[in-house]
Amino acid sequence: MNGARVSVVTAPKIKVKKKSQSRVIWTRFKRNKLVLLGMMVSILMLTAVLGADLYLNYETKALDQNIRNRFQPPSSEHWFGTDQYGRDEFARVIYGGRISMFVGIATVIVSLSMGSIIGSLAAYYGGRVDNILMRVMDVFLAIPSTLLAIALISALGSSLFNLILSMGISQIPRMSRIVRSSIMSIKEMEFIEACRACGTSDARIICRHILPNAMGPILVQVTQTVARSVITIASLSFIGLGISEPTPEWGSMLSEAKNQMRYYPHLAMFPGIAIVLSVMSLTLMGDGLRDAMDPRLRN
Amino acid sequence: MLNYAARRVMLLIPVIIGVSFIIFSIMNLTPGDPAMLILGEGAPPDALVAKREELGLNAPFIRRYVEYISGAVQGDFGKSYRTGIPVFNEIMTRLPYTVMLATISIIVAIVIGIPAGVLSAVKQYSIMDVSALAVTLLITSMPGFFLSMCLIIVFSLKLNWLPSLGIESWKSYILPGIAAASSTTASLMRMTRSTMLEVIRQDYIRTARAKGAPERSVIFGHALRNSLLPVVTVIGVNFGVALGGSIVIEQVFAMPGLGQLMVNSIRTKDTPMVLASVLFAAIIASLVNLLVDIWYCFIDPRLASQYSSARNAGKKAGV
Amino acid sequence: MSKLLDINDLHVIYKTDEDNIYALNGISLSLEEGETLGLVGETGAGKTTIALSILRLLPEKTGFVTKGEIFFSGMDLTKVTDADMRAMRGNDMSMIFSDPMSALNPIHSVGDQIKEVLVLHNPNLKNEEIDKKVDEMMEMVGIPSERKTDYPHQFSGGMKQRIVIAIALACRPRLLLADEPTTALDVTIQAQVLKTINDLKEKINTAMLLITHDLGVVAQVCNSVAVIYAGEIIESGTVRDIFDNEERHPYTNGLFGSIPDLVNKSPRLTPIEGLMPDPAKLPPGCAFEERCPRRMEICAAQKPDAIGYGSGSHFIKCHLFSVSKARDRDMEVLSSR
Repeated sequence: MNGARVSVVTAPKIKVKKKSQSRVIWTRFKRNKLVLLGMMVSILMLTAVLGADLYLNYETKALDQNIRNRFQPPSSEHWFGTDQYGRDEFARVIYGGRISMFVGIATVIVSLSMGSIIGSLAAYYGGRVDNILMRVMDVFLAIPSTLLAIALISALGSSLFNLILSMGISQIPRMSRIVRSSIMSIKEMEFIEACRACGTSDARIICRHILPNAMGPILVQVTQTVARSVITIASLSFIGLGISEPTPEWGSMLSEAKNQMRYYPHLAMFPGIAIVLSVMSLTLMGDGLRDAMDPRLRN
Repeated sequence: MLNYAARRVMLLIPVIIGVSFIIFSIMNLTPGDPAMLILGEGAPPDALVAKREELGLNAPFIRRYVEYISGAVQGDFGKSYRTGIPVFNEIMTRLPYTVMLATISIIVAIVIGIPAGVLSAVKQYSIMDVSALAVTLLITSMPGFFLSMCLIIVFSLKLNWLPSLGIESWKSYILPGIAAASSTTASLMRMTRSTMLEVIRQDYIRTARAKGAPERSVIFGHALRNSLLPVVTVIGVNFGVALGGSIVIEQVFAMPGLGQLMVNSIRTKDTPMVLASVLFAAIIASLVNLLVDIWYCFIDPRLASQYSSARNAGKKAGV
Repeated sequence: MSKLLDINDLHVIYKTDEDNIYALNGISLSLEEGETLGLVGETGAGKTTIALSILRLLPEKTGFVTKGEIFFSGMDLTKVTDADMRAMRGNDMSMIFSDPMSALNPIHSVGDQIKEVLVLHNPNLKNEEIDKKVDEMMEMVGIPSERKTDYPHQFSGGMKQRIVIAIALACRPRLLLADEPTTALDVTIQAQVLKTINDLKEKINTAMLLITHDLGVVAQVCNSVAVIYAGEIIESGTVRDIFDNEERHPYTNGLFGSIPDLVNKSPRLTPIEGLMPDPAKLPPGCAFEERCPRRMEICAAQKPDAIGYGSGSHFIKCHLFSVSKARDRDMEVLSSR
């Protein structure tokens, strides 16, 4: 009869793809070449520092003094040269990195844990509790954090523990604000209301819904805090309030190098560049994370 | 408007009280015996007891705090444990250098950083933008003292253009000024850039273009004015950071500022000196923040209108 | 009478980091002076892209016109200089956007924002005259002119949209592009705002391209209709052609079917199954084929042409309506063997 064939159709084909939230963020994170570089550098430095004992000997290289060998320029035996006491600069930089990393992470743990408690209490209870807590945080924030750390250290004395405590405490106000605003913005979202309407318990709401969503900005803040800590601890050690001799630390190494700047500038360069590299890579990672999580910045 | 400003000033007082309380409490934790510090270790015990009584160290904490504050508002911050000179005098000779460094940082940051940020945002991904981002990343990753040392090595030691230590002439302020200003400028530039980028993507910018406004008017009249608001709020915080940074930079350049005083006093356990130095720095930072807040209220028409429309409503009601 | 707006085979792509997005794929439509055309389609079909292309406001680094012309009073807008385009925007043609909450600059007073468009295109007018016009426009949209020193945040959504309308119509443009002007508003305000737009439009005799997904609005306000799907106009005609006819493009039928019927009882609505195809990976044949309840084999293979139907103003892009033509073709093939 006619050439055209009409086929009878039941249901049209539908294709639906699903990608979990973290996978999407990871994909976008990977796309930024610069950020990836930052992450790789961080990981490289981390491995070099953590595995230091495998290829370096702390006692002989970083601590033993060898006055006859002092101020050597970089050579095949001492990659970064030697310092004013004849110690291997390369080993000192690596071990110095270990201290910085340790203090940085410890600072974050202290400030994040206290800050989270304060921030989540304020966000969850709101009203008076929120008001009081945040007023107190505001007063702390009125003091520049470096000054606060200096005051704490001067009062407590400069042991490693006190150093971590001081730096951690000085970062608590900022952390608590971030946690609070993060949780508050999630709390307002309608899906939380929907959860309650289904009869979900408060604890479950917090753990399964609020926290995972609030993680994002908090994670970015964590990388920034670690980066900031590296600089702060170096500054504190530089002015003599942080890690003291003979433990290698980039800031105190720079302090010594300052006195030798005229004749041996290389002693200042290596620890300084180490600081710059670690802070830069951390900052890049933090920026990359933030951009990957921000849906508005899609091109 | 005055209402808002007055309220902000009133708020400052509890903040200052809070700050002083916190710092006083912290310094109170300092171990060691001030009497022994002043009189020396070999001093006889009753002299020590008498000294402690004289310094009022046996009084309960709150009373000591109140006494300190009441003395402070009259300009008496106690005497140095080390030298016996009134703390206030010592601080006053040194404070100007530190404050000046911080002020230079902020001014340079505003004058260079903000326009650079705008330019970067408008020409996003251009060579200028990318290199500016790279440079600011580098600078913000450097501790202030390292930057200072690099500057000294290049300009003072190798090229011998500028002096590095002390405060001989106006030239002595150049390198410290650059060192202090750099990180503030870099951070303000990044902040301006990212704010501008966000603002440019807003719907009302598209509306402005749809009206046929020339690009210059869109960028400056619409985008920039909106971007400046969040940037201004950040300036106050940046001043506090700059103040903290100046303290360390002074050490590198051997400038006789507050930082040096603070560090030396900490080493010698000269608590009144440390207490007063930190207090001064913190309070100056709060004052600057307050000024910025008040200024913000003037430039954000939304806040201004809140108070003027209340006035107008009063007018309409026949008041 | 020559057409005010004549879009001819317009192709627009968005270039992203990942793919090219084929937003418009051969759009042709036209508008006479004073006519109101309703552009109907679901989200993502390309409606806003058409409006932005006319005004040349596609995002700079990502939106490109790859083919086609847009004629406005005989001028090809794709080839005009930037300066000329700016002179026309806000003046000869203007746009109302869908989200009134963010369309106004928060730190300029509403009076200043209306004033800006007047000042831009009337450099010879004195300040007092411009101020008078601002007052006039505000009264026309139903906002007391004393409020011109107030800021956008002091107005409700509906009032903000009316200010946007005032800005758009201040210079008496010949073409108004209204992109879902009432979608973001409450239903009661919707009616008001729509009436305001319509009244002003009549007064000024502006042609309007009304973008909407609401067929009810189309019936109230429009002279003609165009239905857009996946970047193509799949059906166009006068309002009577589309609304009164039983024979329509299957998609259009689906749209009508999705509307709850106030008269007859039915247990469920009949939605259109499935989703629009990914604009980055468009199928070679008819874009609607996947979801079409009446699809044929030829639909997946070959794109249909726009076929005239009935009175001559009605065009449908669907193979169903060219069955007879296909029959003739097949007969030819059979007989040639």
